[in-house]
Amino acid sequence: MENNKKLTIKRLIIFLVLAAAPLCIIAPILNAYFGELLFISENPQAQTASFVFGALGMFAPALANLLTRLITKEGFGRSCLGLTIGKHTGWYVASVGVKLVETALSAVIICAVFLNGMSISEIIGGGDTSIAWAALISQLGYSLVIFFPAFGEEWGWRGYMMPKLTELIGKPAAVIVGGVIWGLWHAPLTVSGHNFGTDYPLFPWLGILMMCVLCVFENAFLTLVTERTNSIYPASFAHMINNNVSASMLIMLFCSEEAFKRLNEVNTMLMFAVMVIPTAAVGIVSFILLLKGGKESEGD
Amino acid sequence: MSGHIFKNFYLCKGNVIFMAVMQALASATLILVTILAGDTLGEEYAIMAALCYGLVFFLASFSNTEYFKCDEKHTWVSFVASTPQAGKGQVAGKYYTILIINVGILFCCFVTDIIVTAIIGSTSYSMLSVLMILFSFEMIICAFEMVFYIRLGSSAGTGVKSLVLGIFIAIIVIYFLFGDISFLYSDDPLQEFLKFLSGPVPMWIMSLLPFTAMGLYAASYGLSLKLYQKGAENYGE
Repeated sequence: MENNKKLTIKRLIIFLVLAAAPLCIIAPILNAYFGELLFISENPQAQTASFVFGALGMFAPALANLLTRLITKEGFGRSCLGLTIGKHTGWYVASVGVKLVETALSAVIICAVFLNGMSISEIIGGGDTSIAWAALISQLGYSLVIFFPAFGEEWGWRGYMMPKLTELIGKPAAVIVGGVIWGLWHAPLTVSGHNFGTDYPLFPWLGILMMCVLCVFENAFLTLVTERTNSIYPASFAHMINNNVSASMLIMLFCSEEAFKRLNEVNTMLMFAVMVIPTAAVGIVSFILLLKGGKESEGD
Repeated sequence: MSGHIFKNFYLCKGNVIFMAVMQALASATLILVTILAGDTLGEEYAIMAALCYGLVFFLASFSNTEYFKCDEKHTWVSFVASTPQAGKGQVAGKYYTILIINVGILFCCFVTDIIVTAIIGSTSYSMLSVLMILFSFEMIICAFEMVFYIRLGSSAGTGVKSLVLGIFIAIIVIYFLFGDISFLYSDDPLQEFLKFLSGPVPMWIMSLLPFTAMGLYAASYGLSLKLYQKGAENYGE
C-alpha cells in the first residue's frame, strides 16, 4: 500500500513538472523577445505568437499525461478516452447546457451591476440580432468541433491529475488542491497579461489568486462531469465553450454600442469578480454532487 | 467495442496508411508554400489551403467503403451474431471508426493551420472555420452513405452515394447556369464571394452545419442499427 502511494506521488510529480515546464520556459522567452508582455502587446506578430502559444500551450497537460504514462510504464488503463455518449447522453448535454446558461447569467449580471441607469432597450439593440445569433451558434459549433485545445488540458488535469490526487488526499481536498494547481499552471500566462491585463492592483499576484479561485470552481464542475461519464470529452466541450463563448462575447454581440463602451471602461478584475458568481454557484453545486457521489460509492 | 474498432483499423491498415500519407503530403505542401512564399503570400493561399484540406476529407470519404467491404462475408456475419454485442457492436464499431478517422484528419489539419499561422505571423489566413465546415460536410455525407452501406452492401452503397453526389453537383451546375453569379465578374471574385458568405442566410446555414452533422450522424446510427439485420442477410450474395 505504502509503495503504491509512493509510486502515485512520483507519477504526479513527474506529470506536474512536465505540464508546467513548457509554459514556464516559453512565456518569459516570448516576453523577452517581443520586449513587452505578450498578451497586452499591440504588435501584430506578438498577438499571433500569443494565439499560437495559447493554442499549443493547452496541449502541455495532455503531453505530460502521455509522457508520464510512458516514462513510469503505467500503461493506458483508466485513461478516460472512450466516448460514452450512448450511456451518458444526459451528462454530455448538461455539460454544454450548464456552461451556456452560466455564460448567459454572467452577461446578465454584468449588465445589471455595471449598466445601472440604462434601460433594457438601451442596453440591447442597435445591431442585427439575426447575425448575432448566427455568430453565437457558429461559435458554439466551432467549440464542439475544434475542441482539441481544451482536450489537451482536460486529458491532463481531469484525466490524470484528479484521479491521482483523489487517490492521495480524498475527493474534497483533491478538488480544491487540483483547482489551485490548475490555477497556478496559468501563472506564466497571467503574468504575461492574459485574462486580466496588467491594469489592476497587486499585479500579477491578485490575478494569479483570482485564477486559482476560478479554477477551483471550474475544477469541481469538470471533475464531476468527467467522473460521471468516465470520459474526458464532455469536460473538453464544456471547457472549450467556456473559453470561446464568454460573457464578454455575448455582450459584444447583443449589447448596444453605448453599453459596450461603458463596460469597456470597467476594470477587468472588477468585471471578472462579478462574472465569476454563476461559475461559483455551479462549482459549489458540483462539489456537493461530487461528495454525494463519493459517499454513495463508499456505501456501495 | 474497442475490439471492433481495432479489427476495422487492422483489416484496413493499407487504407489508414494511405490517408496518413495524404494528410502528411497536404500538411507539408501548405507549410512549404508558406515558408517559400514569405511576404508574398496572398489571398490565393486561402483557396489553396481550402482545396488541400478539402482533398484530404474527400479522399477519406471515398475510402470509407473499405471499412465495410472487409466484413461482407456470411462467416463474419454469423460470428458477429454470436458476440455479446451482436450486430449493435458491429454497427457502432463502424460509426466509431469513421468518426475517429475524420477527427484524426481534423486534428492534423488543425495542427497544420496553427503551424502555418505561426510561420506567417498573422491569424488572417487561419482556416479553422473552413475546417469546421469541411468536417461537418464530411460527417453529413458519411451519415447518408453509411446507412446504404449497411443496408445494401458496399457496392450498391457506393452507387447510391455517387448518385447523391451527382445530384449535388447537378444542383451547383444549374445554379451556375441560371443563378446569381455576379461575384465572378467583379474585380476581386474572392472578396465578393467572402462578402456573400458573410450575409445572414449563408451565415445561418454555416452556423447550423455542425449541429446538423451531429444530429444526422446520430440518426444515421439509429437507422443503421435497425437495418443491419436485413442488410447482413444479403451480404456475400
